[in-house]
Amino acid sequence: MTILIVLVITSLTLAVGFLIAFLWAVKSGQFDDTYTPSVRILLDGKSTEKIQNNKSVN
Amino acid sequence: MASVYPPNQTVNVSYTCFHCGDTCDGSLIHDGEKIFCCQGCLFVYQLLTQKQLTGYYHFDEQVRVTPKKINVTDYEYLDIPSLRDKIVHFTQGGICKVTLFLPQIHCTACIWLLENIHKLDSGIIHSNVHFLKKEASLTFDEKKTSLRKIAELLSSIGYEPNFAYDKNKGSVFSVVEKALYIKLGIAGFCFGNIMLLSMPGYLSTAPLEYGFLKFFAYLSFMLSLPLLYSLSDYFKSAWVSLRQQTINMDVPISIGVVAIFTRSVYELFYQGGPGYFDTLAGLAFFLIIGKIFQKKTFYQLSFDRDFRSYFPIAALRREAQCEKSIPIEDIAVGDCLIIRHLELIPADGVLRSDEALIDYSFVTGESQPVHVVQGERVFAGGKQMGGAIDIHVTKEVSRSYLTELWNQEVFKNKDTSGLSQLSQTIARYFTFAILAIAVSSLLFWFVYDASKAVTVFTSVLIVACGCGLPLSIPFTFGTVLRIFERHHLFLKNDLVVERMAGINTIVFDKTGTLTIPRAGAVSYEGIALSPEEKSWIRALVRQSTHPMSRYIYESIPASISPEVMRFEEVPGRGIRANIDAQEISIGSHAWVTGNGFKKAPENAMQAHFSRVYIAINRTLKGVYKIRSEYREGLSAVLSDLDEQYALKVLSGDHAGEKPTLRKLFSAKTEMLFKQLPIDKLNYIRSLQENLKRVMMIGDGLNDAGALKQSDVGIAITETTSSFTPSSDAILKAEGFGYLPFFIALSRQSMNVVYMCFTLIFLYNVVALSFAVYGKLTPLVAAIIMPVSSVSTVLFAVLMTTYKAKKLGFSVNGNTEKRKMDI
Repeated sequence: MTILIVLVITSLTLAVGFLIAFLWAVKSGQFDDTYTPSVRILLDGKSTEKIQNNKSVN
Repeated sequence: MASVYPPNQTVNVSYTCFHCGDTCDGSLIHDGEKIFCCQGCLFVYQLLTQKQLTGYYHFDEQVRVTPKKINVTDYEYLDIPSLRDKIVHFTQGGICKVTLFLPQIHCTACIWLLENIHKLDSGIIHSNVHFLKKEASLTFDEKKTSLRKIAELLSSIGYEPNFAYDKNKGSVFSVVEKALYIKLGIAGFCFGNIMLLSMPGYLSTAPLEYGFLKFFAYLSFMLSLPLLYSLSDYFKSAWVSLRQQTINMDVPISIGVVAIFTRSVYELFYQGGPGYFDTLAGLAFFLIIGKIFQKKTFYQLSFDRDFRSYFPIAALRREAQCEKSIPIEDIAVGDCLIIRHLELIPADGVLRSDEALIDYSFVTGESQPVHVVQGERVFAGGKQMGGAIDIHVTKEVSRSYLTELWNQEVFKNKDTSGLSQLSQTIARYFTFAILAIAVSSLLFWFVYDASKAVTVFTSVLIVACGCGLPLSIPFTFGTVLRIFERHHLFLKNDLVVERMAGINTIVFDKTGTLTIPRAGAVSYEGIALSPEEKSWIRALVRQSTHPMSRYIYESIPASISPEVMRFEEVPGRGIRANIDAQEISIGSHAWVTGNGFKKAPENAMQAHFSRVYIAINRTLKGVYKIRSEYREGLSAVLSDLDEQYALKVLSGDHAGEKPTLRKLFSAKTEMLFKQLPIDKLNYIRSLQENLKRVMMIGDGLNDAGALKQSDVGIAITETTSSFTPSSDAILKAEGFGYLPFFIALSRQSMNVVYMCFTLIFLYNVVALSFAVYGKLTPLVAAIIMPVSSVSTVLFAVLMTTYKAKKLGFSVNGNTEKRKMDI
């Protein structure tokens, strides 16, 4: 049963990893603008053909 | 290449401009097969084509931005180092970063064009658009370009940067929000893990597993340390409030958290028990969720503006030999300023040019421009219509007539407490009640069984600090906020709901609030006009910037314009020109007939019509009557409100509309005309001194003082991108009809809050009875706390939604659509 201790510590380490990832994401501004990137990904700088097919957001 | 269409073209076909999508009226400009309404649009098209940015036209947007004509000196002030430094927020080795507010951003094509802006100016290194904030962040190389050049480029393609907007908006908010998200992340992480570690303890207490339980408890203790950090806001707020000798909701929460933590640490280290870390984690997590729910920001809307947001940041000063841009703070008494067409006058002064036509609608609400002659006074906030004028400054910007309004007390006392009156009252009683129960049970057990006394004392504090109480207000009001938002009312924060529920007097501004700004109902009386004559009139009024001319212009259907010759405008009298060899004159009766003696017969009852006479070849044809139009559904709204609230009307305008208003309002309504901004403010103040709770609804800068002074100030606006004065709430014109329901729902929501309090009270009776008898185990605490919190929150949200539905609000809106709307 002592294996539980190893498991608990492993899971906690994993969880701390995710927490750090989340904190980094917030600090680096990934939650600052939750709208524009969703539009930007559909825009293509080089090919105007693709833009024509995009649905307008308005 | 481009060629001007023959002006005598009479075909009545409407063309749409290839660039801006507007209906073309004046002379058309062709480039190949494409038609443009003006040189500006053609220029943008040619520029974009040249730089291979025609992708802009592939988006199926109907409305694009119309470019603005810019003068050479428009952005000269951006070359002034002190102003430039205020706008640019980062400079290193010639690389600058700047965030510009571009209110015209409205569609995908805008994002695309602005993020490809580096193709138009090689000095721009990178650009990034924040759509919801309508901002573009640009990085540029100062060796290759300048802020001024960028501003000129953006204006020339139609995105006019707004430098006058309040700069502290945005950045401050996002810092606060970021910190809250981080705290939520930490609290969620600790909550999840502590619950997982506590689970075995709930299920079994077999001695074999005792070692594990102890290990888990120590882990929980370690995980609870970051929780204390995530609750730091509550401790700070409680400390501040105690030092001010008041008690807010954060005081009982902090007491409870401290009680839980110390008791748990004591049990863990001295008695080997599991402690109440699970309860603490649940509490912290729910509290922070509540805070996030409470923080709702409307990016585009700014609720706290002062005059600086309206005024230009620089003015043009006439010096011995040249003209020079100076920041408006540097304007000194005695300066001579040049005010161009449609520019705002930044400081009070005396007119030096022969005459000027100044639109004070911004300041007084009076929609008709005032004719000023040399030597007369002009006031800050007025907008010059027509040619450039010179003014001699007599007062500094901060001492001007309009800006003095902002020196009033109301603008200094900023409501920074951010605390709900109701929750403060409740918090006070609640804290004292809990302390009383805790102390009396401590005393009781001290006599009866001293070993249990401290345990019971802390138990009472632990259960009583249930987070249901602080959560019920944000969740109820937060739900109301969201429902309001769907119906075009945007509140500054959730506390406005509470104040709105308490009002008993509603004060309306007239111009722009009861009437629709810039849309007069135009009717024509007299000899019928032929289509040809109408097209002459349209062509003539197009030359003038007078609002009456604009109303007439808009009332005549579009056609190809004939050429206007020998145009002449005398401010305050009328306009005249030769069109197709006919002399057309439009204006006052004396002006069009050419005799100054005979006054047109005017019916006193109809004095609120503005009359514009038309004459062709000096023969009177007829008269256009222009009446300001009242908002749709106004009478229904007013009759609804009249039953429950005292209504008042304040107007900066002349009393001409009084008879019409009398018909709309009931007899007991008080109406005051010719009110100066300061009169409006004082009127609201006097109402409040008579213990009235006042809601003020207004639109212009002239209402700013009254809006600020009132308990609930609502600024009404046609489009949210336009400027609104400082207020508690912004109402889009479409939502005006819902006004009675907004107030009704805010009142209902107060009932919901009271119901929540009752519910929490019942929970506390149960929980406290466990605590007082010394029977509170960690398991009981861990069950009661989340159950009471979650059920209270659910009750608050569902009950509010139900009440809103009953009042006729639609509660399920299309979120995506709304985002684009505001």
